Amino acid sequence: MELFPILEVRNLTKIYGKPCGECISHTGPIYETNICSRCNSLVACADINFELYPGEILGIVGESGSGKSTVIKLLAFDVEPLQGEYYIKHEKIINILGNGQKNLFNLTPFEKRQIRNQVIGIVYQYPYLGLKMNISAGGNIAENLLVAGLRNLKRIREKVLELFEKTELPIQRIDEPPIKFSGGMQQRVQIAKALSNNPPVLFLDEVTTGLDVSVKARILDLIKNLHHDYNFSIIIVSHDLSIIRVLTHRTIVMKLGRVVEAGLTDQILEDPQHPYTQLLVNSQL
Amino acid sequence: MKGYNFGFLDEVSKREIRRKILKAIAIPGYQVPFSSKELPIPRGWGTGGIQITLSIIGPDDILKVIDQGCDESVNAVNIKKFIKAVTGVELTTDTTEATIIQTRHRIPEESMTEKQILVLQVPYPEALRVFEPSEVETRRMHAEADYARMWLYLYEDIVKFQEISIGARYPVLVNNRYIMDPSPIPRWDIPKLNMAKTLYLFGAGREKRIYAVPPYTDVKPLEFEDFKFRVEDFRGKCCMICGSSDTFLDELIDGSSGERIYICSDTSYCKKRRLVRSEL
Repeated sequence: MELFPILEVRNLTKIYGKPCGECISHTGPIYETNICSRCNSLVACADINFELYPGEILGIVGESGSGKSTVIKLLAFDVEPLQGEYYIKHEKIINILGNGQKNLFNLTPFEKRQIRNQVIGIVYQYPYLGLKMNISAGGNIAENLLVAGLRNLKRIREKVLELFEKTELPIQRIDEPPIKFSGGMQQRVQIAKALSNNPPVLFLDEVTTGLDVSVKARILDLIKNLHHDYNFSIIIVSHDLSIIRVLTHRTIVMKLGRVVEAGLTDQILEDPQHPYTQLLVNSQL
Repeated sequence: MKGYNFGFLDEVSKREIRRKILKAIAIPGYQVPFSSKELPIPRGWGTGGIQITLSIIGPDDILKVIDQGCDESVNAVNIKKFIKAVTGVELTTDTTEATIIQTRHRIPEESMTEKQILVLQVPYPEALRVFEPSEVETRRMHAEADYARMWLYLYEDIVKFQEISIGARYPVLVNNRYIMDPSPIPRWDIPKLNMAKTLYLFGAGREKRIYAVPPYTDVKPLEFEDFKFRVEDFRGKCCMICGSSDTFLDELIDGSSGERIYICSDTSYCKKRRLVRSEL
């Protein structure tokens, strides 16, 4: 049986600044810079290609500034790419856009918001990016249900409670704002919010950075359990190789906005081919 | 008044405002920016409503001006005096007689007809301003019909207070498209906007916006399926002057006895009822 990817990304490029046309050929690991020497534009990522299969967990690793978070921001429609193609194959997409493959980057803001709400769940590194800190935790989760058009208070409340239980949040604190929560709990609220509309694809951007080791372990445990229960596809961005090792099936290594190596996680961590990956793995050990 | 144009504003300004009114009627609930003109009244005192009234009024019109339902309060009397001075139109306090009714904070109790126009003075035209300070962002929300945060605001209100605490300015959805601020009218008046025979024009002079609800337009207050919109509850209370129990009542404290008393907010309707009763 042939397996089709649920998510496909082709030639994804993002440049901050005014590109001169030769930015991409003047930057990258070979030049040891991601700033174009001709026009000073920042090539955040260039020519990124990958696919994600149903139920798969894909890791993106790289040091700070390698463009891994930019990739996630692009896929979540937070920023606009310079060029690239982006496809998701799922029945929810057909419900929103109808049949036929459409490059998701070319959609209207309204359609993008629907996809962001129905098809994609995202957890950011900083909780304040994904949550409204002065609105109750329950309200934060309810927002996604309200965007989806649910107008029944009782059903909204039930669903929020269910998500609270799933993410092991204390139910008695449902009406408190996340600003009063600990860092680990804020991440759990973010995860609950991301799961609210049962998205088939989940993006996790450095979710455990800044958390202490025991909290980190419990969050990773939660993600693993949720993945087991829901079987969604996940893209995890991290600079922490231990997370990559524990969670992912396949890994992409990025440096200065380019993919330098891609393959099975085991293979990459045990037998890295690219000098940069070797450095990364060695420095971890 | 000699030396002044009919309706105080010059013809070019009036035409500009009329064009904006037409645009507002064409897109029900959409806020149309306009070049709010200088008037001998400070901004925030009803200049939006006055400019609309002055732009659409003709010599044969009959004008009624009310402030919180009352024909004789300061704001109403002074606006009436000003418009009378610059146009010479006939004034009335009878809702059914007037062709143009300018109002602040109330819609008259008596039902109005297709031939009448109701002009409302608006302090804050943006219904989304309560949670979003950025004009750029609220305009984007309107453009994309991205109203989840308005719903979230209601959700939070219910979670906090077990009811929707918005008294006046209850947000409404116009023509199933735009969320609109109906100006600070009480919830009591909101159902009167739905499928009304009369044209409703809203003018915000300080904020420079005009919007409209054309006749026979669908206007729905925002409500959850299991948490419905309610009007003010006056059960067991009645107007101490006319005895009415089906009108919007103002609550007062009796100076001598210290008790709560209720009187009709719409004074001309209250007076009319008393007349009818004394004739019987």
